[in-house]
Order: sequence, then structure tokens, then C-alpha cells
Amino acid sequence: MKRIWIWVLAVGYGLAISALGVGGWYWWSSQQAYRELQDQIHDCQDFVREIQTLRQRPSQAVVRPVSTATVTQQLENAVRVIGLSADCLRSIEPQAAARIENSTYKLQTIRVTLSPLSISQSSQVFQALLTEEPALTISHLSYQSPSFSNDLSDRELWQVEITLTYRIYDPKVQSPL
Amino acid sequence: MATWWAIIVDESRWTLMNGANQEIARVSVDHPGEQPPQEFALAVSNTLREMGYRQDPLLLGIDPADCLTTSFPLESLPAGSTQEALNYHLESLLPVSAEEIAVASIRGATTICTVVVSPTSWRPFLEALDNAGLVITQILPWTWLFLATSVLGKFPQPTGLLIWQVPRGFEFWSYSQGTITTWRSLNNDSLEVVRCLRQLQAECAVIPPVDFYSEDPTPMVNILRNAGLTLVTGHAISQSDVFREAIPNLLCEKIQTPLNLQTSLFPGVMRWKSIRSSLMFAACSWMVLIGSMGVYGFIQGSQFHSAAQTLREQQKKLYQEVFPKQTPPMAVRSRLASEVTKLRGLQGGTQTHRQVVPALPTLARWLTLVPTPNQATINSIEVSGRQIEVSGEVLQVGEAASIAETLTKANFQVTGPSTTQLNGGGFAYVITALEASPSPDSPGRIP
Repeated sequence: MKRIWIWVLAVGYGLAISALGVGGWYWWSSQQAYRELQDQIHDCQDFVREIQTLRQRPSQAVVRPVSTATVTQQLENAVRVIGLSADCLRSIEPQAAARIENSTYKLQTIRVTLSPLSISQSSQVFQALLTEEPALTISHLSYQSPSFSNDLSDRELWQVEITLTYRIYDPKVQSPL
Repeated sequence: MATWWAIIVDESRWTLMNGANQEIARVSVDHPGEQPPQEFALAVSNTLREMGYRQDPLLLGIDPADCLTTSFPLESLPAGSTQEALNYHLESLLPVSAEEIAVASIRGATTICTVVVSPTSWRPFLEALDNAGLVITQILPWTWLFLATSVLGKFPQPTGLLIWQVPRGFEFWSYSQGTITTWRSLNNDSLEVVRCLRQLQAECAVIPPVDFYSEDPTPMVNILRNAGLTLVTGHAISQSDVFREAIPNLLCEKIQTPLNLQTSLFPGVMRWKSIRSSLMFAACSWMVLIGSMGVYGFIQGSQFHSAAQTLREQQKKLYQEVFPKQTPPMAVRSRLASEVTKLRGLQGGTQTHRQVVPALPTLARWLTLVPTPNQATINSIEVSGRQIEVSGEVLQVGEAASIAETLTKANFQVTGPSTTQLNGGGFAYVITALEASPSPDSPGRIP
């Protein structure tokens, strides 16, 4: 009789301690998960608000290198906006993107030659280009070999070389090793 | 069916008895000797169970030599006193504590006869028997079983003295008008009986008729008669007869007429049983408490779990506010944080602004500040960031100098103008200017 009670107690204690262990672990882990999610939900709310705000601002960089076709398309659109022919695009020379030292950005430059254009026309092309792509910067300008147009406006026409610089946001910095 | 169970212990063996109506079964087992009480008790228990024992009340009749016998007036006890009060009264008379003694008593009209079981020799067996599952409800010397039921109930005279020669001494019972007095002599010398009777004669003046019980009463009867005690009757009774016939038959009769014996087991044993029950209760309570805490943990855990599920759903809704067509990933927060980092990066940073300086504002400023004079021509314009280099021709060197001066006043750092005289007249000039800092009123576009 006594032995039976001892066995009953031993088994009961085993079950009770197991229940306590498992229940305690379940309680602790669920509570941890809940607290963590509580913290996360506040962060998520802040993130969502910031994402919505940032998305309304124009981007100052692109997420991937701009292809030649894209640049060509943007330039053609820009010259067509001011009523010029795409023939004025003389050359487009993309350069390899290079990382800005110790940063999460790369710079991609594209040298473009347009001719013939007046300074005013070039200004309109530049504005159209910058409006279409806010992440673009014209970092270099060169006006060369002026000539006078044949029309009556007596305008100076130039060969314009520009360097378009795209900022590429690329946080994957490769190890120097 | 009326049944009884008894264990009678004498010097040579333990006799296990069972009576059902008039049928009596006996099994004898040898004394334990050096055997540990636990093992012996288990063997006794097994034998009893083979005889059909099932947790019935059990009477334990032990050797009278293991008992202390005394009697005292009832008036020394408080009225209506309990067995426990009797134990504590005996405690005041004996050099042992009340928890250590088991007491049996027979109450007369004015006196109470008690027997105290020697604690030291029987406690281990009692505990072992109890642990083996035997329910011992009475413990007393087996002489009492015989005397209290057989002899005292059938006193032929109102006053008398009963002496029983037991293996290690004499048992004295004095009865007078309902008053019973008992004592024991542990000395087996027959002169002890004579001495005792002389003392009784000195106290009571008259010695009542004496009934002497022994296996061979004749020698003692002769001694007493020679000592002047004429009213002595000898009764031959052997211990084996007592065990074999008298006690079982008396116990069978006892079922019909309950034995007027009051007994208590060792209170210490009872206390231990009580403590053991309490410990069992405490152990069960702790077990239930621990189990309940585990269950409580489960319940609380599931509540946290369901609350966490709600928060996860909330996270998914937040995610779909900014990514409406995407399936929410497991790590919503990380994904949103990554998106924030990306968007911040796409907004550019100060380091990027330092690296890439737009050329257009500088050109626009030049054109605003320096309208081309009629006499001057421009052959080329180079703008890199905030540095501008203009080359052309002028008729007078002063015109180029005038341009440089205008730029200097507008916060340009001007180098030159460098001029070269042309063969056909006029001067070629080159002006290099660096805009010190972007002007807040810079138009940003070419006028």
C-alpha cells in the first residue's frame, strides 16, 4: 500500500514537475514573444509613417545602375519636349559605376554630346532631363565651337558636352580583403 | 459474519489467530531473532494475508514480561478523563514520555488498572507492522486477555485475590467490592509471593481468599498454606492451554460480549501516522500546487500566444499599408526597417552631395552676372562643379578684366584673365573662376 503511494507520488510529482517545466517554458517563451512583438509593433508604426513620408519626396539616388537604353530614352524625351530632333544626340558614353570611398553609394557617369544647340535650348533640355530623373546631376558642362544658326534669330549654336552623374544607392560594400 | 484477528506473542513464537464464528485458525511463526523488524513484519503480513486478512482490526497480545502493570484510584484522574489524559497521568508516574507508551486499562468502580507496554522493545515492531499494512487496534499482555474476560468476569466471591504464575514472575489481581487492583512481580521466587501477601496482610488486616493459577499450582499452594494462608485454591492452567483454547474461545465470546478493555497504542506511533498522513497530504498538496502552476503557466502562455497572434496580424496590416500587393514576410519589422534604410539612402546623404557638385547653378550664375558684352566673344565654356572656365576674344584687355572684376565682386575666386594678343587685332582671353559657395539666390537654371 505504502509502495503504491510512493509510486503514485513519484509519478504524480514527475508529471507535475514536467507540467511546471513545460508550462513555465511555454509561459516564458510566449511572454517573451509577446513583449518582443509589442516593441516591434511600435517600430513598425514608426517605419510605416517614415516610409510614407519618404516616398513622397523625390529620390536623390537610384537603386541600380542606369542602362544606356534608359539614358538614351530619357535624353530623347528631353530633346523632343523642346521640339528638337533626336539627331542632335551625337554620342552617349556610359562609364563604369565606381563606389564613393567608404560609403554606401556608387557614382555612374555618362558623357553625352549634343549638337547643335543654343544655350537656351540646352537649358530646356537639362531642365526636362532633371525633371524626369531627380536622381540625376549634371556634374560637368562644356560648350564648344559656337556657330551661328541659319535662321533669322542670329542665335549661337554650340556643341554641348555634358557629364550626367547618377547616384546609385548600393549598401553592399564589398570587403577590401 | 463476525471475525476477529489476533497475534499472541510468547517467549517462543508468534501465534497468528483468526476466528470466524466458532471456527479458529492458527499459524505459528518463530520469533524474529536477528531478523530486521521490517522483514519479519512483512513475513507476518504475508502469512496473515494468506489466511485471508484484509485490513481488519488486529489485537496484539504480548508477553506480560514486556509490560509494566499498576493501578491507582480513579479519583486521581479528572472526571470524564480520556485515554489521552490517562496516558499523561501515567507519564507523571513513569520515567518515559506519554508519546512513548501504549496503555491498556480496566476501570473498576474506584480504581483503574493499567498496563504499560514497554516502549523500547515494541516500538520497532509496531512501526514495522504498521508499515506492512497491519491495522493493530489493541495491544495488551495476553494474561489480561485471559484474566479480564475469563476470570474477573466470573468471580465466585465478592472479595478475593488472584495470583497467576506467568513465565517470568507473578501477576496479582485484588478485587474487593468492584475495586480491582493489579500489580506484577518480576521476581519468579515463590518467597516473593509470601512477602507480597504479608505486606497485604499488614495493610488490610485480612487476606481474602486466594486463587492461584499455574501450570503446577501444588508446590506454591503448599508454601502458602505453610505460611498460614489457609484460603488458597490452586488452579492448574498451562500457557499452551491458554493459547490453544482459552484465548481463542474467549475472543470468540468477546465478539458477542465486547471486552471491557480500554487500550491505546503508542501515541507516538499514532502521531507518526498522523504526521505521515500530514506529510502525504502536504506532498499531494505540493504536487497539486506544482501541477496547478504548470497548468497556470499553460493558460497564461496561451493568452500571451493569442495576444502575440493579434500583434502579428497587426504587423501584417501595417506591412500591407506600404506594400499592398506583397505577402507579408515572417520578419515584418526587419523588412520595414530595410525599406526605411533604402528610402533614406535614396534621399541621398551629405557625403554624396560633397562628392557630386552640380554644374548648372554655377553656369546659370555666370550667365546672370556676366552678360556677354557686345565687343567680347566666347569660344568655349567649361563648367566642372563650381569651377567655370571661359575663353574667348575681346577687343580690349580691360573688357576681360572687367568681367573678372564682376565675378570677384560676386564672390568668385577668379584666376586671370590671361590674355594673348591676336595677330588680326584684339585679344584672346581665358578666365577661370571658382564659386566659393553656392549662392542662396542662385537661380539653378540657365536664364
